[in-house]
Amino acid sequence: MEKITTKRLKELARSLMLDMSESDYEDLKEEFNIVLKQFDLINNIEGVDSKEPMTFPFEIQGVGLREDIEGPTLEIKDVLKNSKDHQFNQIKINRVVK
Amino acid sequence: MSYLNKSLIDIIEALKNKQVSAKELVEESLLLANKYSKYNPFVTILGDTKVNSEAPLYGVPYALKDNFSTKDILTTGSSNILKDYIPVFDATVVEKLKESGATLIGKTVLDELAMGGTGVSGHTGRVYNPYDPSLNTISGGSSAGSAVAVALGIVPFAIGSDTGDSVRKPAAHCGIVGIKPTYGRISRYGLFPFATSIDHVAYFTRTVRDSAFLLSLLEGSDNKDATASTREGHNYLKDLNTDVKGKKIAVISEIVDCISEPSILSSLDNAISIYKEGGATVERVSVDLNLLRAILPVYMIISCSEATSNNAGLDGINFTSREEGNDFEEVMINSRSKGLGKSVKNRLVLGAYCLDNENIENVFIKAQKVRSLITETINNIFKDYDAILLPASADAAPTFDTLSDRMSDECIIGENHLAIANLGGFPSLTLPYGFKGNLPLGVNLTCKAFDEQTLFNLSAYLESKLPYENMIAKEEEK
Amino acid sequence: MNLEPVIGIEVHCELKTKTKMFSSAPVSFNAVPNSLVQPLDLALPGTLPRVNKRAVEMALLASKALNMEIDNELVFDRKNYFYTDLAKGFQITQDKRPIGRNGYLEIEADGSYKKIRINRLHMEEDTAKQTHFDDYTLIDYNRSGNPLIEIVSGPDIRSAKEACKYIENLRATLLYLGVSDVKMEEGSMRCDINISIKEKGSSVLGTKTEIKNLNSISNVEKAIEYEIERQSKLLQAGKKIIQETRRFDEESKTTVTMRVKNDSLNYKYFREPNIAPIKLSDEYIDQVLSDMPLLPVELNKIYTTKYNLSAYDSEQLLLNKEISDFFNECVKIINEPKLITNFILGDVLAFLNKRGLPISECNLTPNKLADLIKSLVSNAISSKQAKIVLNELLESDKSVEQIIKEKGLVQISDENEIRTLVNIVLSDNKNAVKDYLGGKTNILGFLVGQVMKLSKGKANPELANTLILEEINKLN
Repeated sequence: MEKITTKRLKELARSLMLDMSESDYEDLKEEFNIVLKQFDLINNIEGVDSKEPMTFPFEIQGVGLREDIEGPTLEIKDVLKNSKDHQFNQIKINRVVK
Repeated sequence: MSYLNKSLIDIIEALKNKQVSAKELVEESLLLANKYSKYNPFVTILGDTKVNSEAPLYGVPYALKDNFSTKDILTTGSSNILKDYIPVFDATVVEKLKESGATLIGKTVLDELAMGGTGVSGHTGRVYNPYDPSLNTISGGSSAGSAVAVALGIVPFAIGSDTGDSVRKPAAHCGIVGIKPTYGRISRYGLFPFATSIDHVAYFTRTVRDSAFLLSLLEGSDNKDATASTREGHNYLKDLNTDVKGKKIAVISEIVDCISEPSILSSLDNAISIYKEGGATVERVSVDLNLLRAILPVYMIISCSEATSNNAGLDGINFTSREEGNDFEEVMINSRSKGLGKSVKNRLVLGAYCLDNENIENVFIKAQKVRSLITETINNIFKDYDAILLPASADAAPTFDTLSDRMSDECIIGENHLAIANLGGFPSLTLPYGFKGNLPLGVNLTCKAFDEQTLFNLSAYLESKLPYENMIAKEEEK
Repeated sequence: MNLEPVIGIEVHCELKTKTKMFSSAPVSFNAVPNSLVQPLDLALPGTLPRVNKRAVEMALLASKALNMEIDNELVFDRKNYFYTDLAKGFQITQDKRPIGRNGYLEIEADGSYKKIRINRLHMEEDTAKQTHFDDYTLIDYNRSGNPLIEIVSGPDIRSAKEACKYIENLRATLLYLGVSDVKMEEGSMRCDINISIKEKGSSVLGTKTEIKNLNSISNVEKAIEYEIERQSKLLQAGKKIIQETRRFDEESKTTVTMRVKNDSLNYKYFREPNIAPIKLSDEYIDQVLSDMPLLPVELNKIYTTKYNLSAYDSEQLLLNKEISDFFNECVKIINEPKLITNFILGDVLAFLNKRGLPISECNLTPNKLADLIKSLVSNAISSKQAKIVLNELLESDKSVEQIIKEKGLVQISDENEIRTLVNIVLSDNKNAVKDYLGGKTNILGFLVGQVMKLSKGKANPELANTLILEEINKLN
C-alpha cells in the first residue's frame, strides 16, 4: 500500500483548488493512512474483475432525450443575484489572463 | 389541545373536520421550533405562514433539509461557502409540497454538504439528540435537523436526503420512521448533489402509514431529472396490507454476528419473533464477509470521488462566497479553503486521490465493480426473500465525546451496512423497535428495487405490534 | 535530414440547435449578456442536465457524413477541471463512448485523392464567454452550455495545403448538412492543430505542439507553415521541441508559447451519473439519417451529369450553400438547369456582389426566378426583356407578371399580327427590299429592327425574321 506524503496531499488538494494549514495536512495524512488500509479491503474479493463498473444500479426507465424547444430563461438580475461583483450585466472578477 | 403530536394522517383528518385551523397548526409549529432551539435543528425558521387552497396537505407544517433549493429562501447546505446563497428556483419536491398545500416552516441543519453521519459539522453548529436533554448525544446525520424536528413533534414530517444512510441512521437514533425509496422514485432536481449515483431524496415521519401516504405525493417522473423513473405511481396507503403470512424475510448473519450490544440483539430477536408470530418465515442468510467489509470503502470511494466533481462549482466565482486573490486560481483556492470545513476538504482530497490518473483503475473503477457485485449479491437474496431485516445501527446514538471527526478508522460492518441500499438503489426503511436506556433504537427493512409496497406492508405490521408508533420526544417526560 | 510534418486537427463546431446541449435556454449569438441563461448554465446546486434530441440528431448526421461507425447508446462523461469560464467545474462530454468513431474524409491534394482518417466525433458543451479588460474580466453565461461537436482527425495530414483542404471540406460538409454555421471568424468553428516533425519514412513521431487561436483558414496555413519551419530548424540545429500549447499571433504571423503542457494534466474523467444511458433504436437512427441533405460531392455529381452543367459552373454554384440551395429550389419548380445557372451566376451574383447581400436577403425568390424562366421559354418575353424583368425583380418585391404588365413587356408572338407589321415595313422600305433582293442580304437586320420599332419592341424578333424572309421571297 502506498504511503502518502504531505507533498502528494498538497498536489491532490491543489488539483481541487483547496489548501489547508500544515497541521491539517498532518491530520489528513494520518487519516489517509487509515483510509487507504480500508481501501485495500476492496482488493480481497473474488470475481470482481469480470464485473462491469456500475454507475446506475439498474436500467433506468427515464424521460430520455429532450425535444429542442426553448424554455424560460432567468431574469438577468437573478443571474447576478448571488455574485459578489458584477458590471454591465456580467459577473466581474479579477483579470483572468495575466 | 395540541394536534402536532398526532400523525400526519390524523392531522389531515383534524384539519378536514375543522378541529384545528391551518393557521393554528403553523403557529404552534413555529412556537415549538423556537421552544426547542437548544437542540438546534434549524438553519432558518420561516415566519411566513401563507397556506394554499384545499390541497391534500393544506395547512400541514413541514421542515426541509437545507440542501434543497428553495426559491427566494436562504439555502446553505450548512456550509459557509453558501452562507448567503438565495436560490432562484424550487426543488421538485418543494414544488410538489407547495402544490399539495404544505407549509414550509424551516430549513434544517445537516452535516456540511451532507458529508457526514453525525450532525456535528453544520456551519450553524451541532444538532442534539432530543432524547438526551443534557445535550451529550448526537442525533445522527447528515439529515440531523429534519430528524430532530420530527422527533420533537415540531412537524409531522420532514424531507432529508440519504446518500449512505443519512435519513435511515438519524431516524434510528431519534426514534422515528425514515425511508429512502428506490433510486429515481423521487426526483433529485433541486437537491444539492453529494454523490449523484447514490443520492436519494428521503424523508422522516413518525408512522409507517404517514410514510406510505407521502410517497404517493412525492414520487413520479420529472422532466428535469433524467434519472427519475417514469414508472406509474401507487396509492401505497390504500394498498397497505399488514398480513405477513407467507412472507420470507432474510437476516444477514455476518452483519448481525459482528454486533455485540445486548439491547440491539434483544430488540432484533423480538422483531423476528413478531414476524414469525404473524406467519412470516425469517431465515439467516450468509454473505461473503469480505464483500461486506468492502461496503464502507466502496461507499467512501464512490461518494468522495463524485463529490469532488459535484462540488467543483462552489468556486467563489458566480454564486458562492468569494475570497479575493491576485489571480483566479487564488480566488478559487481562497474561497474554497475558507468556505469549506475540514472534514469536507478531507473527503474531497480523498476523492481526488481515487480519481487521480494513477489510481482511477485500481480504486475508483474497482470500487464501481465491487458495487456491481454487492448489488448482484443482494439481488440474489431478493430472488428468495421479500425483504432483508437488520439492525439500523450497531448501538444507540453515541455521545459527542466518543466521536472523532475522522473518517471512520475501523471498518465496522454493523454501523455501515445501510449503504447497501444506496449502492443497489433498493428501497429501505428504518423504524423504532426498542430502547437502550433513554435512547431509541431502529430496525431496518430493505426490499428489491421498486417494491416499496412490500416494504411498507412489512414495516406497518411490525409497527402495529410494537409500542413506538407516532413516538414524540418530550422534554418534561425525561 | 529529410523531414516531414505530421499533422492532426481537432475541430470544434457549435451546433445550430434552438436550445443548449443540456438546458432549454435558447442558443443565440450577440444577445444581451446573461439573457439566455437557465440555472443549469450557472451550475446552481441541484440543477440537472437533459440531452438535446436535435443535437444528437445533428451529431448522427455528421458522423454518417464522415463515414463513421455510430454508437447506438448515448453515454456521457465528466471532464473535471477548474477555470473561470467553466461554471460547473466540469464539462459534460463523451470520453469513452463518442457517438461516432473510425471515419474518414477524402481530400484532393496535388490532383489525387487522399483519405484523412477521423478518429472520433463526440458531443459536448461550450463554456461561458469572458471579456478581458485591463484589470478585470467579465463573464457572460449565454454561451455556457451551447452544444458542440468535436471532430478529431488521425495524424494523416502532411502539409499546410492538405490541412486547409481538410478544413475546407469538413466545413463544406457540415455547412451542407445544416448542423453548424461553421464560421471560423465568429468562433462557431474552431481548429486546434497538433503538429510534429519526423524523419521521412520513420515511424517514430517527434514531440508535438498544439496551436490554438486560429480564426481563418489562411491563418491555419500560415501558422502551420511557420511551425513546420520553426520545428525543422530546431531539429536541424540538434535542439529539442518542447511539448506545449502555442497560439497564432496575427501581427507577427508567428506562433508563440501559450503554456507548457503539464504531464500531470489530470481531468479525473468519470461517467456522468446524471444522464442514464440512452439507447438509440435502429429505426430512429435510420429515420434521422434518411433526412440527410445532399453533400457537395454528391451535388456536384448531379449538377455535372444529370443537369449537364460544366464543371466550372457546378463549382461556382457549390461555393456558397445558399446559392446552391436556391438553384436546387428553382430546378425543382422548373427543369431548366442551364438557364437557371446562367441567370444566377450572371446578373444575380453580380447584383449580390455589388450590394454585398446574401441571396436570402434580396427580393428574388426561387419561385420568381422560375416564373421569369417560364415566361422566357414560352416566348412570352424575349431574353432582352427577361434581363429587364430580372433587374426589377432584384430591386423591388413585385411579381414577374406585375413587372411585365407595368413595363408593357409582353412579346407579340401572334403570326398574323407580326405579318401585318412586316408587310407595312416592306412597303415603307421598298429600297431596302430591292437591295436585299439584289444580294445585300445583311439588310435583313435593318428590316427586323424596323418591325421591332413599329411594335415598340414587343414583336418576337425570331418570328419577325422568319416572316420577313417569307414575305420577301413572295415578292421575288
